[in-house]
Amino acid sequence: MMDIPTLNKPGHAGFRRERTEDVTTTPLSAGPDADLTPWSPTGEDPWDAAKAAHLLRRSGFGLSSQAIDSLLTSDPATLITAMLAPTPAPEPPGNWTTQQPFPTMGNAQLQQYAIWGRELQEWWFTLMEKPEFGLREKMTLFWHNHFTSEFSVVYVAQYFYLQNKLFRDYAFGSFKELTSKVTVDPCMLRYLDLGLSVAGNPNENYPREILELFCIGEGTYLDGTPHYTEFDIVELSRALTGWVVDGLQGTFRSTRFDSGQKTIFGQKANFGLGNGGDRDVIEWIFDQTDLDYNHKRSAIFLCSKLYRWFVYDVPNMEIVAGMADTLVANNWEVGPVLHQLLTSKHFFSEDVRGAMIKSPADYVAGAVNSFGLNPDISTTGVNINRPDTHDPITAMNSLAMTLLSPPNVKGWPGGRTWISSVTLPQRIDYAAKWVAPISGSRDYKFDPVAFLNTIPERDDVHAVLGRLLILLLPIPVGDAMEERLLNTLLGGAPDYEWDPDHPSTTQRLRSTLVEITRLAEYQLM
Amino acid sequence: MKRRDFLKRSAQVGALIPLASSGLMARPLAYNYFNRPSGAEDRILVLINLSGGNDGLNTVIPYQDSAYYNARPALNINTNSVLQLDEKLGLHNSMTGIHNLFNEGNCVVINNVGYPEQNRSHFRSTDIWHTASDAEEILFTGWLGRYLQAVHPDYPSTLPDAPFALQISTSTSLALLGANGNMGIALENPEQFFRLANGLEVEPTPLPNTLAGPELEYVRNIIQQSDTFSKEIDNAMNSGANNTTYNTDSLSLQMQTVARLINGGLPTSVYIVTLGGFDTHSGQLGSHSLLLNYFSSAVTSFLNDMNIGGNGDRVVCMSYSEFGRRLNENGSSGTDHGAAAPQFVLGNPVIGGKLLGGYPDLINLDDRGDLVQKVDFRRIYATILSDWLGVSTAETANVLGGSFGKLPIFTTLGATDEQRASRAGILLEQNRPNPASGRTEIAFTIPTRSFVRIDLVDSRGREHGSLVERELEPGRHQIQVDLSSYPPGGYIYRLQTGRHRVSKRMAIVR
Repeated sequence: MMDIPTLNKPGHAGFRRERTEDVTTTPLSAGPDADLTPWSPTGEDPWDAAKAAHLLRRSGFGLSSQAIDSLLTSDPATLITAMLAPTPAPEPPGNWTTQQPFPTMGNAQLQQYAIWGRELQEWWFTLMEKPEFGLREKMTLFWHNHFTSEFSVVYVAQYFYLQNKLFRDYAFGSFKELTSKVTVDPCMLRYLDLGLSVAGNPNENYPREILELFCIGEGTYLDGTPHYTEFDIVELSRALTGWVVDGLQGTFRSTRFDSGQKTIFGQKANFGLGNGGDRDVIEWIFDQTDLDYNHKRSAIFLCSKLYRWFVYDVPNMEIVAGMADTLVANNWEVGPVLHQLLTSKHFFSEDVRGAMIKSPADYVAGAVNSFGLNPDISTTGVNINRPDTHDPITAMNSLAMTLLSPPNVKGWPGGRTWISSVTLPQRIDYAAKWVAPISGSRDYKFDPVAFLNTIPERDDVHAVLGRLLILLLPIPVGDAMEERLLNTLLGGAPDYEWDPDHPSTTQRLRSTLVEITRLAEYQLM
Repeated sequence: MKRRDFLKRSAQVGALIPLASSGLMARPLAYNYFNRPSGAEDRILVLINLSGGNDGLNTVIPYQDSAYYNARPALNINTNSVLQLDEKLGLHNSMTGIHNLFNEGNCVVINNVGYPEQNRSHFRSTDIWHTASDAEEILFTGWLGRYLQAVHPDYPSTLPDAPFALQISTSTSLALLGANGNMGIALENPEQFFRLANGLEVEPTPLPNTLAGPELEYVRNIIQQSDTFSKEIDNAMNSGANNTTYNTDSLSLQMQTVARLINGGLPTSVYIVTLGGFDTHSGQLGSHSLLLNYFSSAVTSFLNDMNIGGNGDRVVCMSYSEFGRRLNENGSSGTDHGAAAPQFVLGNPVIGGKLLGGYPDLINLDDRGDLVQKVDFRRIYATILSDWLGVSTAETANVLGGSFGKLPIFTTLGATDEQRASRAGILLEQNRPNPASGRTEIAFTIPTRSFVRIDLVDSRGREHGSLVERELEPGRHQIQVDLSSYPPGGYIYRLQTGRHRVSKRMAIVR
């Protein structure tokens, strides 16, 4: 066999790059900072603007200059506790959300669903860009990317709303409970065909994915034992028969249920879900042990995905195992895991800062927050061939993230795949047009004067630039680049001539922002 | 003075002009002539991914097999409607274009393609196809990535002008991932790509020594590549045109773009296009028919376009899909994930009009009730690498991680350009001395009076000018070349006469 590179990270012995969230072949990594204990400020390592910005970027969708200042008056543990506090459920996007699905599906019905689907996307985006809901919406998006559904398969917009609401209700809730609920949620019953599965002719689509993508993960343990077998899928399919879509909900029909004995993970029982059978099959899936980590397999699986969502594309398995402890100890509630992770020394270590690539949601909603934009979110005036006319939703679509429409059942792979020779030039162009629109382009309502007013010490040009860099870039750019940006901001004048209220300052500020957003660092978070 | 002496002297005079300093003609090429026999450099492979697991049994239909009709009471394709390939198999009736290609000898159908221990997960099985791994083996690089890496060992320290591989998509597939990074790029709309990417620059800010370092470097690489490639792709779009009309489905649009780029002279050798929707668990009959029609008409328009544009002999298309589908239909008028399935290789260069891989055996199924694979998919890869892209047997085995028997798909049937030239009486000898530091002598033989050109190309694919460019008498000729002004390294010298091309490697040392 030819020599296949293991893609070791330089300087991180044993840090093997995993292409997927399948973690079973990864040895426990003893990174220099694999420490889940809470970070607390010290003299040399104070709670500063860079850390506050890091926390805001990762826990939500971007940050404003004011947010940094308000965070600095608090501490991470208090902040995360506040982010995890219950929030009132948002008003639904329209009355259509409670309407029964159309009895038939013709062109007119598809059109109507597409219009409602778009309303749902806009509604969701508006929630994302609200800083107070950042973590909740980031988890809602996480669940959408975990328990995927594609609009072009299901179509019924009501189902997507209901699923989206379910994800939001469980943003910090129990993974196990959510799995049970989403299994029989109408969107999922429709998307992966479980609603068609019937005793004598079970459909394997959902049963395969719940093992492969939702709870267990594909692969084998180090001793060669597979995580699950094809036989487990066959038997699980029988256990999950009986559920159908009825109006706007999933309903159990005992006549469609296979009430025979099934052998799943070596255990024989009349497995089922809800009123089916006499043993809950979801409980049994969550009871499976990861042979490599001697832990609940579903906990290891989910926590490595959470790690990738919040910290870095390559899970640090020591951290993941610690998170899994917390998850199981808290009856599968995700909130305590997030609290632990987002206040940890590992999370605040210099090593992981800027090591993630922004998703289109981070990129677009993040810009709205950072620049204080107020874009018109409607499709009016959008010309698909003129990117400068794109509204935020269309922009996200062009950057390969269409909400409610992941590329396939595995969801968006994320990380480096967000950046290609197509999406990167597009990203750079969008940012430039948002802060410096050209004639005919969509007005994102960037207000340079108001923006400058959000910066404390706006009379000191060095402080202004310092804040811009903390606000927009996760890592330092070096003295030479800072010098160059300062020069743009000053228009070549000496620093003592800086006047924030000078009429030409706004133009120089726009140019500086365009220059910053063209840097590769702006793609990172 | 004897003719040969005269030639020797004049060639010497010509060759003594220090080519390396005379402009170097440092036109970077997308190609490196190493590792491939001459003649294969401008060959193109277009991969068509039928994503989701194409139902092979309703694509190439065993229309005389009662087992098929028994297993598929609702989903079968009527015996009378199939487009016959032979007395047992026929194409789905929506595939008239491919049927014509088959009858014209430009399509090979390979049945029973798969791999042992079929994995029925879309993602895992797609990864297996893309990495050319065994079912149980997890590889992190793709088969085309490894191939392109072998041909372009300098990448990414030397960036080419044009992408080695191009995927019409928002992201590249694992097939193109090489050990040193992604060997291909993805784009959807070439005009927009140029507008946005042209002029992008990388700023030399410090690379942090943290986990952010590699990510930053990755983004920068893409910035730089986007700018370079945008110019070359723009050139190709401006000089290329489509010669045929295409449908408006997604696959047709993708192939239309590929055709225009090829016709415009883009020196990219691998293209990937994708048609999704083959995961037909329910309501299969109508949607599958539509998809097969998209596939068939897109390929037909594309190959016609290639022929009219004079590129028909340079291009081969190959279909692949992660698995076939179960023989028995399910209870939702669909089919579930299966195993082996037929694949297609299409284009002028194939010895078409035939079926390889035997007939599907609908009686002796695997334990899940699926077709058993008889042709490992890597045999198709090996055939394409060796017989189409001109990779040596040893290197093909290296790329694929083992030897896989080739299939009789191509007319070249393994004959290298060198072998064909040799049969025609053309011989290029190894230069002496080799390695050379100053002068070296190159000898060659031609059978008839003909125009001869010998070019020198360095290991980065840059042309260093012609050593000989003139009409010569039949017989053996020798030329003296002064290499003292060339940088040391590996080079190829390539003789071209008539339709033959032969090349050999040489090394320059100090």
